[in-house]
Amino acid sequence: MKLLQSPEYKSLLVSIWASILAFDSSCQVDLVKDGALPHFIQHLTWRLNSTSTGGVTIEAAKERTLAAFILAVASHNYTQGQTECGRLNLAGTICALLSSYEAGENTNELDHASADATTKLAESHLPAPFRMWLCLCLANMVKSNPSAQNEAFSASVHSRLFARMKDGNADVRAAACCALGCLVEKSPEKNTPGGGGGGPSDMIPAALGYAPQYQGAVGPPQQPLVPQRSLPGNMVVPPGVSLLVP
Amino acid sequence: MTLPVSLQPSFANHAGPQGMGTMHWHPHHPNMEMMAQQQLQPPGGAGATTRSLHMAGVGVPGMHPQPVAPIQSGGVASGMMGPPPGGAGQHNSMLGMNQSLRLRPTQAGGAQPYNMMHGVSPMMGPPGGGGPPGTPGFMFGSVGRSVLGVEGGPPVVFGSPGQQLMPPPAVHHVHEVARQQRQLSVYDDRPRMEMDLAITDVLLKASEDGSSVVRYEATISIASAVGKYLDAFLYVADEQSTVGGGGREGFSGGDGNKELTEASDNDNTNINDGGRVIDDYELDGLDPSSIERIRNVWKKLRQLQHRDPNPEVASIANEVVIFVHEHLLQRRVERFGGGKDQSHGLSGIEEESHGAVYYDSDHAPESSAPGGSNGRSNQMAQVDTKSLRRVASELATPVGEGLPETPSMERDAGIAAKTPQTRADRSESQSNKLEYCLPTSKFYDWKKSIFMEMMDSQQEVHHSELDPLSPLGATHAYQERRNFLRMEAGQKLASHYVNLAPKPPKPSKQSIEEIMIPDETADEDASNAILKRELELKESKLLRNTGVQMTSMIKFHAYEDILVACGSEHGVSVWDTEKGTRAVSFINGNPKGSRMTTAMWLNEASTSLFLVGCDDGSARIWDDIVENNGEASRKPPNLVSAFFAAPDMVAGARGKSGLVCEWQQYSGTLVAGGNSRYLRCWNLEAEKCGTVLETDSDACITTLASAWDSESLGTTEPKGSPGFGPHILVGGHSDGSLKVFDIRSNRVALEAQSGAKSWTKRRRPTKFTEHSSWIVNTTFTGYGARYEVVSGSVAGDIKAWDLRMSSSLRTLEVQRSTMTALAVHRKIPVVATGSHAQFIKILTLDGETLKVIRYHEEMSNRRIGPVSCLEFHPFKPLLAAGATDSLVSIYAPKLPLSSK
Repeated sequence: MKLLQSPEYKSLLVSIWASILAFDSSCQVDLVKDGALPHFIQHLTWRLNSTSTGGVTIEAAKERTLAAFILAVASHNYTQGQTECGRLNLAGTICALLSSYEAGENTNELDHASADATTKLAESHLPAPFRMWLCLCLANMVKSNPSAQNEAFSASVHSRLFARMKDGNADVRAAACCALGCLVEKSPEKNTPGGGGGGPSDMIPAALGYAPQYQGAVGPPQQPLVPQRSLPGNMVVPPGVSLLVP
Repeated sequence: MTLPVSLQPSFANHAGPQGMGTMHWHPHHPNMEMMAQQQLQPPGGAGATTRSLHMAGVGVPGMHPQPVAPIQSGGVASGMMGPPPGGAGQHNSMLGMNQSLRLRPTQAGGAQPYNMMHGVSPMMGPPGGGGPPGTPGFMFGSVGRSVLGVEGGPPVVFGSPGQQLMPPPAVHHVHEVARQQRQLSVYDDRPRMEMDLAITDVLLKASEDGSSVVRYEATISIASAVGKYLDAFLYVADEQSTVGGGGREGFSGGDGNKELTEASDNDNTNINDGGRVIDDYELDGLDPSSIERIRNVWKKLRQLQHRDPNPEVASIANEVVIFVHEHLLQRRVERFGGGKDQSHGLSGIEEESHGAVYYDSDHAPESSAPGGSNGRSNQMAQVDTKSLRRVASELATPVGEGLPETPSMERDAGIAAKTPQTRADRSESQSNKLEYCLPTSKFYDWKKSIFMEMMDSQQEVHHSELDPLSPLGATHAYQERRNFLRMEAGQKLASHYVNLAPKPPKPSKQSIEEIMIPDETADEDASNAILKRELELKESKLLRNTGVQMTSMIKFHAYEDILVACGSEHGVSVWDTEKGTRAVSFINGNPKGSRMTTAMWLNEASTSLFLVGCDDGSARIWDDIVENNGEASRKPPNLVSAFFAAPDMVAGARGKSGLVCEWQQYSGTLVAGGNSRYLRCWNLEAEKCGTVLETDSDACITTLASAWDSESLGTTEPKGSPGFGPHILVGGHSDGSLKVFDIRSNRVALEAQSGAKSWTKRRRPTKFTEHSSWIVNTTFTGYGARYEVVSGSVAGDIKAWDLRMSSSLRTLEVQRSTMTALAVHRKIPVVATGSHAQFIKILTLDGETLKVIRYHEEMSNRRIGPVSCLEFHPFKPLLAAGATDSLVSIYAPKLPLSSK
C-alpha cells in the first residue's frame, strides 16, 4: 500500500492489483480497508493531459482502464466500498472524465480536420474499454444503495450516462444501460423478515426464491446469453483488419 | 405554490422509526449536505423535492410518535425551497397538501376515526375516478404486512394468502393506516420518480438500439424500474388485460370474495367485472402523465417480448412480462380468490398455471403466429387467469426453434463451456417456480471475466494474426491466400471478357479511315465469338432444396464454394456448390407473415457473416456458416446480432419491397431502405444508426447499389466515375424511378454537393424516370475502365446509365414477358434475365442473346419454373437461378476458358 504512493511503482501496482482483483474480487475488502482507493481514483486521470504521442498515450489509457476496473471491482456488491467511493467523490471524477469526452465528441469547429483531430484525441485518451469501465464503475457504485443513488443524481451522473447512450461503441452503451438500471433500481430487501418492507414488491414472496436470487452474484458468475453471442469487436467487422482486401 | 411549511411539525411528529416501512427507501441519509444541494439544483427540471414526504412515517395504531429522524433536515430543505420550477411542482404541492391533511387525523391520535379518512380520500384524487373512496381494500400488499410486522398489530399478515379473510373491524383501521403508509411509497417521491421515469424513457430508446447487447441490458434495466414501480405496472397491465371489462368498482365484503372464489376455481368465469386488482387510489401518487409513461414502458416491453428479432432479448422481456403477470395473477387470487379455501385455490392455480406454461411453450409457435399486437390484445381481452398465463409465456419459445442450441459460437472456449449450463439453469429455474424473479444484469460479471484476457490480448492480437502457426494466424493466412487467388481469377476473367463490353459510341470526329480498318474488327469479332460461346452457360448442378416452396434469394460466397438460398418465408439453406450438397438449413426466425427480402454476405474476406433482412424491418446476422477451413459448416449457424434496420416497416405488406439493404464493406456501413420513407445508414461496427435520409417518395425502394467499385479497393485502379465516391448510392423504386442518394448528407444526393464541387457547374441529375415499372435490379459495373450502372425493370427493359448524364446510355428491350429477375456479372459484361414465363436469357450488354434456358438439363429436360431470382458469382462465370419451386440450378460454362 505504501508503495502506491511512490509514482514509479504506481503503474506496476495498478496492473498487479487489477490482476489480483480479476482473479479474486474478495480482495476488494483489503483495498477499501487500507484506504488505497484515492490512489486509484487519482490514477484515473493519470497522464491525461500529457501531450505525448503514440504508444505512451495508449499505455496510459490502458492503465487508466485498469484503474477503472479496480474501482469497479472495489465497489461491486460491497457497501463500504460504495460509501468510500462516494466519499472520495468518484462520481464527480468520472463525470468530469465523461464530460471531457463529450466535449471532444461534440466539437463544433468549422474546420473538419481539427474537429476530427479533437475527436480522435478524446478517443485515444478515453478509449471505449475505459469508458465502459467508467460506466460500470458508476453502476457498481450506486447498485442497491439508495444514498449513493441520490448522490449520483445530484452529481448529474444520469445526464452523463444519457450522453453515453449515444456512444459509438455498443459495449459502452450497454454499460451505460446497465448503470442507468442500477440507478433506478430499488435496493433489495435485506431485512425482509418482518422488517423493512418498503415498496410494493415486498410482495414478492421470499419463499419463492426471489430475494436470494435478486441479491445475486453468489457463486460463479453466470454469463449473459446475448452478450456472449455477439462478442464485441471481433464479430462484426474487426476493426481495420478485415475491411481491406489485401 | 410554496410547500406548506406547516408540514414540518407533522414531520416532526410523525417521522417513523428508522428501518420501518417506507423508510427503507431512503435509509439514513449520510450526507445531508448533498441532499440539500440536490434540492437546490433539481436536475432535469424535476420539481422541488419532497423527498422528505417519504420519510414521514405514519401514525400506526399503537405506535407512538417518535423523535425526528435525521432525515428531517431534508424535509426542511424542501420546505424552504422556492417555488419549484416546471410542471411537477404543482403536483408536489398538491401532494404536500394531501399529506398534511392526511396526517392530521393521525396526529389526533393513534386510532383515527374512520370518517376522517373519508373526508380525506377525495383529496387523494384517484386518477381515473375509480372505486368508491373509503372502501376498504382487501389487499394492500407488502406495506400492510410490514407495518403490522413491525408494530405488532393484529396478527393478520397481509400479502400472505390464506389468512386474508374478511377483515375484522380492527383491521379496517389497519387498512386505512396501511393505505396511508402506502401512500408514502416510491410514488410519493416525485422528483426521484420523475428522474427514474426520465431514465426509463432513455432506456426505452435504447431498447431500439442496433446492438442486441444494449437492448438486452436496457430491458434488464427497465426491469429494475418495473421492480420498483411494480404497482404502477400492475395497474397498467391490469388495465390492458381487462380492456373492455366493465365494472371498476371494487368488491367489498364476503360477496365479492365468494363470487371470485368461484371465478378462480372455474377459470372461464371472467374476472373482468371483478374490478381492478390495483385500485386507482392505491396509485394516487401518480398523475395521469406518469401513468401514461408507465403505460408506454409496458407497451414497449410487450413489443420487445413479441417482436424483438433477437430471441434472447425477447425472452428476457418475456421474463419481465411474466413477472408482472405472475404478480397480477397472484393479486387476483389473493384479492378475489381469497376466502374459504385459500391454500387449495392458490396451489391449484399455481399448478395449473405451470401446466399452462409448458403447454404453451410447446404450442407457442402456433399461438404466437399472428404476430403483431392486435391479435395479442384481443387475446388479452378475455382474461381469465389462464389466458393471462398464456400471454405471458407464449413468447419464450420460438426461440427454441429459431435458435440453435449449439454453444459452439463462442470465440473462447471458456465461455463456451458455460452456455449450455446457463441455459439449463434457466430452464431449471423456470421449473422451480422462479419466474418470479426479475432478470438481473450480468454484464459486469461478464466483462469482468474477460477483462484480463482482453487487456492482455490487446497487444497480442496482431502477433497471433501474423503468426501462421497459431490458429488465428493460420486462418488469417488461409483467408488471405484464398482471397488473393479468387481476386486474381476475377481479374483474369474481367480482362478476358473485357472486349465484350459495349463500346463507347464512336466519336464523330473519328476519321473514316479509322473505322474502315477491316482486319481489326474482324479479328475482334472472331475472338468475341469465341468468348461468347464460352459464356453459353450450361446447367451444371441442380440443387434439390426439398421442403422449400420457392427460392427468393440466392447469394454466392465470393471466396468459397458456398451458396446460400433463402426460401420464401424463413427457411435458409447453405449449399456446397462444388459437391452440390446441402450443408445445413436453418430457420431465420422472423415472425410468421413476414418474409425475407434481402440477404447478403458481410465480411466475406475474413469472418464471413450472413445478413438476412425481412419485410418487418428486422435484420439478422448469422455466423458460423463458413468454417475456418473454408468449408460450409454442417451445424446450424449462430445468430450474432439482430436488430430492426428499419423499425417503421410493417410486415406482410404485399406488393412492397420490404427491407432492402446495401452493404459497404470498406466502411462497415449497411444502408437499409425499402418499404420506408427513410434510408438508414447503420454502422455495424458501432451497431448504431448513423445518417438517416428521407427518400422523398411514396414508392418504396426496391434495389440499392453503391456507385463505386469497392472490390478494387487497395488497387491502383480507379474505383468509379470521377466525382463519385463510395457515398453515392443508386436506389431503384417501385414506380420505376432511379434516385441517387448521398449518404453523407441528409438530403437527397448531390444537391448539397453540387455547389461544393466546382468542376461540375451544373447540378447532377438525382432522379431518373425512364423506367416505368418496378426496378428489379441495379448494379454498378466497371468493365474495362468504364463505370456504368445497369438497371432493369419488370417491364423487361434494361438500361445502362452514366450517373453524370441526365439520360440513359443504352436501352435493351430484353423480353416482353414480366422480367422477374435480373443479374449482372460484375466482371464479365453479361447479364441474365429471368422470366415469369419460365425461361432464363443470358445476353451481353449489347443486347446479343447468348443463350436461352428453358429446361433443366440435369432432370430429363423438365421445364424450369417461373424464375424468381438470379445471381452471378462475383468472380466466376457461374450463374445460380431459383424459381418458384424447390429447385436451384447452377449454370457454368461448358468449355474452359480459352487461352488468348
